[in-house]
Amino acid sequence: MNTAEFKAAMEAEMRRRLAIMGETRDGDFGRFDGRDWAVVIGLLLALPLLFTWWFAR
Amino acid sequence: MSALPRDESPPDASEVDPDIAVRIQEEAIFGRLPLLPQEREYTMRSLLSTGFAYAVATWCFLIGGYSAQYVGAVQGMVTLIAGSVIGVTLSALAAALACNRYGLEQIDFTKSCFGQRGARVILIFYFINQVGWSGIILVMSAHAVTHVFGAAPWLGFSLPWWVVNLVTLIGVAASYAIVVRGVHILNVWNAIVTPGLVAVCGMLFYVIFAHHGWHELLAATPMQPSDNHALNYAISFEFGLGAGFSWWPGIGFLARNTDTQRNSFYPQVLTMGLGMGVICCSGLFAALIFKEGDPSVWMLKVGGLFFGGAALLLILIANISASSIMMYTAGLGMRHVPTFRNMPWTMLLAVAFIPVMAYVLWPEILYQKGQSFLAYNATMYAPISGLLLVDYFWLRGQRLNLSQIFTDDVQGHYWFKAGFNFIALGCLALGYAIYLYLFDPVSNTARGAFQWTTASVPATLVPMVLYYVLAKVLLVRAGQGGYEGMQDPLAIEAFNL
Repeated sequence: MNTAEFKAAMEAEMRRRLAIMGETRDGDFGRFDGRDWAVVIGLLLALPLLFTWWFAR
Repeated sequence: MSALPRDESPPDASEVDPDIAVRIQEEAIFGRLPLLPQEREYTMRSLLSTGFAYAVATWCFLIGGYSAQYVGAVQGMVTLIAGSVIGVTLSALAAALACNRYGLEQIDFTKSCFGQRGARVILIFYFINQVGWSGIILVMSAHAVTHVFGAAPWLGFSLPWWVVNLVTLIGVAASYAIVVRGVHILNVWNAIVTPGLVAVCGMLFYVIFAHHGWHELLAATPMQPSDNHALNYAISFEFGLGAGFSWWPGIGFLARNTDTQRNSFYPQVLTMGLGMGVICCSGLFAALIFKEGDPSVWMLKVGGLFFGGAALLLILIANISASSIMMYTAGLGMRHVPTFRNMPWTMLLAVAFIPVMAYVLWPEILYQKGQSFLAYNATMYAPISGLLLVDYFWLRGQRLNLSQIFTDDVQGHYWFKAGFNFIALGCLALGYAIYLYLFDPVSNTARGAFQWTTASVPATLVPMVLYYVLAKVLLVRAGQGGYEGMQDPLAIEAFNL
């Protein structure tokens, strides 16, 4: 396989992929919205509270 | 640089020589090309099985054993589960969502925060972590085999010293054979291994509770607690947090291959966070009852030679699975080094496995010394996770300019100064220093406010807040880092592929 040819083909492929993925919009892969953030904050807050509660017992 | 005109559609790979087209497809899966949605292999189900097989390696049982030195069953359960879920949540948020959205390899993602060259600093820690732990869990597997045979004196022979070397070599060869075939074979492998692991873990809990009961567990005292109860709690919580943050290097690889944002995040929290925390508890309970932290010893006590040996065999297989995933990510990471960029995947992996072979030659020395070194290495992941979280969510609003990841142009968005984001790297060093000041992960010696704050929490939060302020004041105002740049693809003269 010719290295220069492979490199050129790789660059062309990268440009093609950038054109597709670079234009990714919010929601193209589903949403990670307010409900998800509520879960995240819940995990980050509820678990330490649970931890503290056990400690205080 | 100017925006890429929409009507200048680049040629498709299928228009080129078929050999080259095959090689390019390989580069997408085994290289750094952004993965397109149709190329991704993981759904919620396959990610759950892969994540679980990844999470249930020997280290879970070891972490439980470490906690048993400081706390009892209930306290250990709460701290290990809470700690690992919080650690994985924080480490997965930015990496999973960004790598999923843009199909990016994890080190490529870190370039948006640390700079094109600064990301190589992260790569060093990343590579050492993946290769080092691969070797260690394979040696652990070899130790398990020797313990099983040692527990069966009626076999009439003792194993020679080189069995550990041999079993480690077999593990290395098996990992190589799996990784060289790619994500698909990992999926198939994990689909077989995961049900067995679930059954083994269920049986472990059943045997512990059936033979010893909850009351005996509650009455079991920690093995080596300090007089300070708050400190015991904080150390056990730190073990959980550290275990959670340690997953950071593996997050992007899974998320990049996943179909949706939610699937890239929740399965990782469920498996590497909750799943690992629960499995750690089996190590905790067993260590409290048998006063023994080594799983290859207590599993034989729990299940006898037959069941315990079978459980160890399955854990050994899971260790090969975890090692394969880590070496896969190590191979992908090596693509960032110019020498390895165009190397065929099989050869690249062979090079990546060379340092693992050191564990075959000197298993005991590297097993003993390596764990301490890797413990220091892993403390970096808490501040790295925090900085990426601030950068991706609060400074960039979850938007990257993908084309800029792949150029080393000095005018590029992620070039910063000389290729380094010195502010982010400085904050990272500060987080590392805070961690090591508060807690020595090798001797488990704590200082300062550790008993109230742990080490991972301030090592994450302080760099986050400082970086947000400094980036707003220094980087955004100076127009560095592409924080207010356009998101459209920009024409690039040379890719850093």
